[in-house]
Amino acid sequence: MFKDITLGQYFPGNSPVHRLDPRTKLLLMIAYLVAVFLVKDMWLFVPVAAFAVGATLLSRVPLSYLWRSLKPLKWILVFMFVLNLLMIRTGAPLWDWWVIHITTGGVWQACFIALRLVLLVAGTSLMTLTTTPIALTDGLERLLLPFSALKFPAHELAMMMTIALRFIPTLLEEADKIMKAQLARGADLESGNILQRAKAMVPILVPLFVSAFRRADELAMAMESRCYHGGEGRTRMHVLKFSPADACAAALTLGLIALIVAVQAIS
Amino acid sequence: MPIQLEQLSYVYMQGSTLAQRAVEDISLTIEAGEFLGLIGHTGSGKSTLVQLMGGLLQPAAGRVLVDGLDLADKKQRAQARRGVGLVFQYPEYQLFEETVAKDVAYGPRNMGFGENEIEAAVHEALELVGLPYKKFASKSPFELSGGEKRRAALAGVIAMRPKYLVLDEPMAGLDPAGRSDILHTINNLRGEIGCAVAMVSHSMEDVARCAGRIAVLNQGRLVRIGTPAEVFAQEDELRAIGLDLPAPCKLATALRARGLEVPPLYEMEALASFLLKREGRHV
Repeated sequence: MFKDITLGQYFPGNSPVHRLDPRTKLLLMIAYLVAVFLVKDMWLFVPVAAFAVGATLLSRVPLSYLWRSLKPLKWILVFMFVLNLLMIRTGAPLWDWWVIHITTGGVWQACFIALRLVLLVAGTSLMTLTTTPIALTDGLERLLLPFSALKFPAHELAMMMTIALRFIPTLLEEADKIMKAQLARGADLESGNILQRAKAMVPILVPLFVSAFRRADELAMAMESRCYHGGEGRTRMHVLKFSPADACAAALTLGLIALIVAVQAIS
Repeated sequence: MPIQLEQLSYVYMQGSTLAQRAVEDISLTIEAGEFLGLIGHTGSGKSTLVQLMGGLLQPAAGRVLVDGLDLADKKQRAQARRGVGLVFQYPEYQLFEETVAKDVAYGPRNMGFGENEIEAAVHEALELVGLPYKKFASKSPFELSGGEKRRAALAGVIAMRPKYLVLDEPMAGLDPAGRSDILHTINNLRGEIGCAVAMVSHSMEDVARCAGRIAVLNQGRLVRIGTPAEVFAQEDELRAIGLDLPAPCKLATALRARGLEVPPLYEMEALASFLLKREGRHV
């Protein structure tokens, strides 16, 4: 029943974008988001879009994959578009009927917001498409490490994320097994009203929780028996290293921000 | 009326590049009241076959008839499923209720038994698996020992009064005493409630001891089906697909090679008493 679920959306590859340090990708994604929000003039979305498309081409992730990640967004997009179209009353009137007043300012703003949203999601999707979840948590841990001086549990947070990611497929498989066992005992999961259906889930959820706790217990034991004692003094197998490519990517992204700031300062 | 599998095939991840044939063109019949053992190496399609028999997977080709009712037919499926009790690997993970009695009653209740009938079925099933009703009915299933949990889960299926009991590795992960207890219980069920048993097992000894017929699976195909004598006579074939002979069988073969006349026996006790008798001693 759950066999078609894939976790995350990582697109395996070995492109320059894939090879970037996850820390670089995380920071540059934030920089990219800042760039998108800095744009006040719609035409400046052109270099931003060019940057996003360029990075996608470089990553050799098919554009259709990026398109697919935009799909869940469509209703939000439509909603935002219509809302802006109807609420903004600046500029020359284009169409007046009953309570609906569409103006040039409204059309402009609606397009602007929609574009901003698409570019935001496209950028973040590109990062998750080119970085494995494990590399991401790894990068996140390294980036948050300085904050552990302020008692921020960077390592624990990253370990929790890693474990959660690792166990999602396992628990799905388990849920599938339990579901089949209860179906064989005549469980009816598909008929009845919401309340009855929720009640019918109890025979699946209880064993699932029991087994999740049991697994957690066993994992904790296994980790302790291999001398796990938290992040202090722990060395890693894959040490993250910045490469010249990271510097290039950073320069390009900062260049994009500089361009936007400069153009807007002049005009 | 039997369970009939007719040219059954099943493919995992059908339509993708990862498609994998798990069961291919299997035809076999489980007769009412018989004990059929299903053996095969890991990945030979045993567990898939079990799920197909319970109507939990839909075959890619072929069909499953339970007492003449087609499991693929939406109208007949519910009725057909009633006849088949499935016990999965590690069935204790399906326990969920507050008390053992309530958990065992879950299946019968889903099947629409009346309250009195449920009560009677629960009582009977618990006694059959060796968990005395008085002692265990009001216990929480989560405070039982591993072997007791396994029994309680088994009772949950037996209480549905299936005509065919299909078990996937019912003894996996139990200690020797627990194994022989469960096997004994399963074997007794045929006499007590007259249901047929199809049991998947890795243990050649267990299958040899109980099964009237044995089906051998390899890479999704049915390689051989026959009495234990017929199946275990094919030593080379079994070894070629990664299976072994039961220990008494190996001993008998070794004795035969040394020139001793030994009939085909699959139980250590039977072999031992034969040898003692041959020596002129009685046990």
